[in-house]
Amino acid sequence: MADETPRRICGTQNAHMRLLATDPEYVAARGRIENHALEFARTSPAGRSGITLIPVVVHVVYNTPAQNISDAQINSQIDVLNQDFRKANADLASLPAVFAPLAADARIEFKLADKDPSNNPTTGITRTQTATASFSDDDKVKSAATGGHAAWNRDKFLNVWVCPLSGGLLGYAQFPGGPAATDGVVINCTAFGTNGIAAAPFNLGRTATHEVGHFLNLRHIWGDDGTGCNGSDFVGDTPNQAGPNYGAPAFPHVTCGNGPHGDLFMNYMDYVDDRAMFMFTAGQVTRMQACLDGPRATLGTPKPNPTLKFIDDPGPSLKFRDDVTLKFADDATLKFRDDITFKFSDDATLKFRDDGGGKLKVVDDPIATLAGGDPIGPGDPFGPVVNPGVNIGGGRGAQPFILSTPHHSMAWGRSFPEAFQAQVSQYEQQIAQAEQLLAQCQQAEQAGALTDADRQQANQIYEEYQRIVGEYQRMIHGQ
Amino acid sequence: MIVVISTKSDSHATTVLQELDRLGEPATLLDLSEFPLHSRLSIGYSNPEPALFHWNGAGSTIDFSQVKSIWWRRPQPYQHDPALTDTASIQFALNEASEAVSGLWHSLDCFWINDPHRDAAAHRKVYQLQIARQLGIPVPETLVTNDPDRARQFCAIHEKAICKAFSATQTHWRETRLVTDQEIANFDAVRFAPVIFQRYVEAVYDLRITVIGNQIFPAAIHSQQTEYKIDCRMDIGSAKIEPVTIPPPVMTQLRSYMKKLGLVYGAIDMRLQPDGTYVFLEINPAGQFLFIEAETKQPMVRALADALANPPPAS
Repeated sequence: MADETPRRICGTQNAHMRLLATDPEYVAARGRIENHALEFARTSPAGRSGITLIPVVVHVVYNTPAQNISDAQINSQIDVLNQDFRKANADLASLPAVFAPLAADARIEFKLADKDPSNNPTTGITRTQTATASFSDDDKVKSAATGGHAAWNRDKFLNVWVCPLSGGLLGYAQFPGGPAATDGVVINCTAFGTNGIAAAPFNLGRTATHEVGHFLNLRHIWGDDGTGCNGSDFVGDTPNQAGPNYGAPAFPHVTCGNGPHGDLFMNYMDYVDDRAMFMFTAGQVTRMQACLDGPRATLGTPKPNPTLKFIDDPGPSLKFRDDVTLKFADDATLKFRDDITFKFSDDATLKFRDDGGGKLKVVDDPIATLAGGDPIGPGDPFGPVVNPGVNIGGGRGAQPFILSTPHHSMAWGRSFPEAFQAQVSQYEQQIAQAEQLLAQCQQAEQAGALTDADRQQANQIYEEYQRIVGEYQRMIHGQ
Repeated sequence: MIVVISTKSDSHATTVLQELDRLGEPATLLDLSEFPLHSRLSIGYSNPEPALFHWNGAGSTIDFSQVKSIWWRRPQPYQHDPALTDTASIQFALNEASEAVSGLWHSLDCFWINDPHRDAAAHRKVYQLQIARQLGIPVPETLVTNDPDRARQFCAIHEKAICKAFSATQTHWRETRLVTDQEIANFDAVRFAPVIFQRYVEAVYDLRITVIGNQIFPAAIHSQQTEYKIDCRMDIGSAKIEPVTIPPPVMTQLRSYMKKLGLVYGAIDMRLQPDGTYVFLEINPAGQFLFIEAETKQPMVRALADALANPPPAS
């Protein structure tokens, strides 16, 4: 009998129980992994900074031609993962305000592999026709001998099998700690991606989000204890919850005394329909990052170049040098002064002037050096470029309210011309300093010498730079 | 002898000193930044002689026991001798200088405009509002907070609200601003430092009311005809400034206010609301007056010189 209102079914817990019963190594590994996860959450070590980029291989295992899903359907799934694991999904706006502080960016992105395990170019997609009409959560799809396709090296790739699954099963994952040959996630081809043969209510790609959550050691949010209140997902910031929620519940749904706000049923690790789930919590992110720090430490790489904004977006900024009203480019005498603030002068940011070594050299150099001919030729990428991470020090940090909202009027310039001119001069010097720092950052970036933290600071400087340029232009143009 | 504590670059000090000279009153400028770098201070107690308060400065010698009035105009920070180089020595020297000189001020039996300690307290904007309220002088609804939620709440209640900083100078210009969506979007940053939020007071005009002893010089600043109507300082160069009269009950309130703060001099900022209410904004115990006098011809330099030359009999 066909189910008129299909409900989410995930086979991860089944696979987990099967491994616990059959694989002593898995049992031992799970113990180690949970201890590590708890310790990680307790001590908040640095873990991986920035964004981890995980190469994905999609093994399409099809019986009928229709199940041989299109590249477009696969790409749509990668897009969903990249939104959901970066807290960039538009439907997050539906999150009840009381839960808003819980939602977190998992800092994980995905891309189809471009090199296979033998380092040959690949599309990141394998396609295998099978005689098997449909699979279950018994891992047969993970071996050619049983009608499927073997896993790629799980230390380097997230294996995603997309195939027909029977019994309404939408997908299942293997928790970390299991056998290499079966590591990865399996998704029903009708619950994968957002187009092609993806079918409502599981056509928004959330099955893969849910299963990759398991793959990174997340448990079902209700704690997998049936409908009791004793199970735990081992995450501190998810409310205790009785059993799974289905469909698209109305907020709030109170169970286990978790009122007034009730279950966090809009979490990816509940059983609601795709359209009703849209967030991970900070505690879940910590658990996933613990997994990347521990059992899946070899998987993924720091995302290269979250890109310096000002490389992509020269904006009004670097053009500014051509502005004839700015004379500083020819002024060889500009140096940092103790009383000049590029806003971050009060904190550690300009500290590098006191730092030892050659780090001072570039910033004390006359602007003319940078403006007229690049002293750091492309042939010498590591030349005098210093790591701006050292230079920029502690970063600009936050600013108090009054200082971080722009002026509403520049009318005072007429009343206090001397003070006004002093401010204009100060801005000009700050702009010059910022351009120097940003130029260094660009050069260091091209030399591959920037860390994520450096980039973050460089982007902060760029934002501050744009703000000052904005204020400066308002003053000059008398707005 | 009259002492004006300020610095040579202060035109208010030099103008009043010229006026005192014209009146034939012996007067001198004392720049505290000369101490202890260039000036020698000696305070002595040896019976049966009277106490010794001797200041031997670079430009002048002052016997403080003969000083009848002091104008606490623009006291400068003390300066140490550059022969001292380590931080501990410098801190120690400056702290000891401060102890000795503060003790001297307390010990003098002279007339102050304004007494340094009353002056310091009166600079506190929260205290200014508190005393104004106590005396029944209308003040705008105010919230000083670093709690973003309370700030949001306040600005939701008041259709037009302003935000301002405790300190704003010409070199670090922080004008009073209307709270717009741009500010509200940034309210999380309120937690970093307290902000003054107030109901915006609509104005017929701003008032600068300079009080010098018993004399009150009210001036209207026609800020609503300038480019920036929120804060009259911003486009003060374009504002018409003229003498104005204020109702006797307001005059009486302001006299009480000065007395309560213990001030002889103060420049009070108020706004005349369209409904006729005079709303108190703040008082500047060391505020400027020359820019007003230049427009209104109200004789404030003379009033200040007179106050210093003719101190009230010691009580």
